[in-house]
Amino acid sequence: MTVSEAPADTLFGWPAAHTGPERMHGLLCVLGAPTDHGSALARGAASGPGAIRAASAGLMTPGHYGRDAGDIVSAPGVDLAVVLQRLAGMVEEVLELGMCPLVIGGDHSITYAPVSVLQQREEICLVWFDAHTDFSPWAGGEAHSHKQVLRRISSLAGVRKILQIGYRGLTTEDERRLGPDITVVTSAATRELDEDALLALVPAGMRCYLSIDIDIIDPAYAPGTGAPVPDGLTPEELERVLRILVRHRRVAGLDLVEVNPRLDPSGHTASVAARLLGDIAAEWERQIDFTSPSPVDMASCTENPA
Amino acid sequence: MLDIVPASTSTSPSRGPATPQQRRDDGPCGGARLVLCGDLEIESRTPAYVVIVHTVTSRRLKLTTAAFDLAMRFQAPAATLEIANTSGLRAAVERLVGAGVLVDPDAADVGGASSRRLRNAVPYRFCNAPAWQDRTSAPHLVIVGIPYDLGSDRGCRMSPLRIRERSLGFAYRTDAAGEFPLGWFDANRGLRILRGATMADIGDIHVEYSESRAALYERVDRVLSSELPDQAVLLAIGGDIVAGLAVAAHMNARMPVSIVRLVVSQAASPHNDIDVRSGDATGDIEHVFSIAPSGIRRQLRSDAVSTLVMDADALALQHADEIVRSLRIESAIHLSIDLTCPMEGVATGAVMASWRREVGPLILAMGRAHRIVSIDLVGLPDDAQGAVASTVACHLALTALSAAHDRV
Repeated sequence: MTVSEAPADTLFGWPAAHTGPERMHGLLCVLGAPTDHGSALARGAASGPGAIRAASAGLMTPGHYGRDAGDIVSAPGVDLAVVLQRLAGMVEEVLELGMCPLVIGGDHSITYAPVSVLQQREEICLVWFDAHTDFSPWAGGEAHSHKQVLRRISSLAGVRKILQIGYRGLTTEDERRLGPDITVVTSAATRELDEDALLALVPAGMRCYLSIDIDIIDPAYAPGTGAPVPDGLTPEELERVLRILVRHRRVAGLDLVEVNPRLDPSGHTASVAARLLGDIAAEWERQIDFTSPSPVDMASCTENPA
Repeated sequence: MLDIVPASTSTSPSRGPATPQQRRDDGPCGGARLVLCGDLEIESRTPAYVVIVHTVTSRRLKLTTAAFDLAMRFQAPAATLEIANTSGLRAAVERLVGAGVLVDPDAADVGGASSRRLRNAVPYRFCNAPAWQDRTSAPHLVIVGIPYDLGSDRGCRMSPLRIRERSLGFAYRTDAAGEFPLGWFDANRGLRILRGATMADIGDIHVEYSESRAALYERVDRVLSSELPDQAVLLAIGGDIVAGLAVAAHMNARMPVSIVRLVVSQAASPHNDIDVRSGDATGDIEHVFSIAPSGIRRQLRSDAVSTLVMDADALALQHADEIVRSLRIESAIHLSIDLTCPMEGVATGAVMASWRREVGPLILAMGRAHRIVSIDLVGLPDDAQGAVASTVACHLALTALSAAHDRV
């Protein structure tokens, strides 16, 4: 791997990713994106990757299905476009190694990088977990904020379907109808979705990308984020949805963003985020194609199953 | 040319009945003594114009240099006829009086001295709604801050500032003509709220922390008497419960009201009940209800207390409309939302977020069943960290205003 900064502690204690002889096909690969570039509200999300890794140290390792490639280099003063370029480059490398990118933000603007790479390889369905639709007007160009990122992503040709889950609160406009290929499910409606109804919203024949803004969780459980909105999902409600998707749909990549340790001195929010990722990782074996003809040493994937 | 124009680009609420203050200002001042208002500051000046700011009302005015020079001749109290010896000059003086640049030096509410100051301008207005500059308008919703917190153990005098700052994320918007408010979309309920409801922020009521509580009540009463139109719904941002009681007392003088108090924590109740029972502000109020997470307490006047107890599970299971009906309120309502919370730090916001989910339906049910004439939002601790507490406060405020105005 290149361009990364090795983390002091890896997520769940997973081994550091490297380009050695070990086969890693199908595993999750953690990429930290410590950015505040896309947030107009508060600095601090850049500390999210470190806080979530630290919080994961207190949890049981949820299976040996991951590697940690560290953080992208994001020195002060680096433009967002450069950060996105570096992150996209790392995602390319992860995919070339046969792994699945798990990006930890940072603010939500960074999701553009992995999605833009993945949608060039195959058509994808994007599942956007967020209290906001992030569909503010975008003027084009290389810059976008975390409030505009989904609108920009929706212009990418390979993003065939978008499912927004968790919209709620008081907004300027009714944002439930954003376009013909975009479905918005409010927090209240999400609680009513059973498994069949949820899966009907995510095409089975298309791989999906899961983008999780921590503010989908009710601030009673996850207060440490820049734009909290009351009446969110409980962690258990979100875990149920994620578990269904990981069990029944093929996941091309995922991210978890907007944990802001500066607004989270108790560490509750980072802990919730770590538990969510642990829940996904515990289900990850279902995502690994053990019949793949790729030159992967499957023993390395299964010697210590969860 | 002696010309005065409003310098602000803020949107003014739509036109409506004249206010009491406006009616007072309508009279001629030909022979009256006038003086330059003491609450004016010069913001900028060019050879042609001077922009001045009224620090109490936030009103900005652009005066021609000639008009400004005329106003400056009233630095000491003087009769109009002494200064303005032509009909044109007298007309200009009239306009300066109408704009609040010149005032009656013998009036009690002339401003300029802190002991007589009624209101203070604020750096942020709630939801960036217009300051109430145009006294010929009568907004549907009026916002005022009352940063008094000596009635509680924890400081909350910064709440009006914090809540207003956070509310900028919920911007008050109008149509392109600046006349018709667009309201907000409530994604949880799937409907648009406060559509067409004009809003104005009249700033903070001035608080002298060394003076008596009675003096605060009197100042609140004077401000609301002059600034609150009869049909407008008031949102008062405290401060603590004392600020809310002062508002309730004023509203009860206008019409009989019952106070319905929603409190985050029962820890807030015993202390606050002392204030309620003392009767200094609410002695004539018909009913006072306190709804806490663990149940409902009903007080009938200060000397006739009866209690309706519901445990937490029953409160959660009973439909909000049934709970409101069980209160048997017949009068209008002053809704008091008390955010006083025993937790500290970010935990404050977490507790509030949970509580808001419980009381949101109750607030809306109260609006459907009764006329809510005023709302206070008090007790948000200054030491509540993070964005959650002030965000929840904004949601509660807009939900309560919707309950009062939309009634759906």
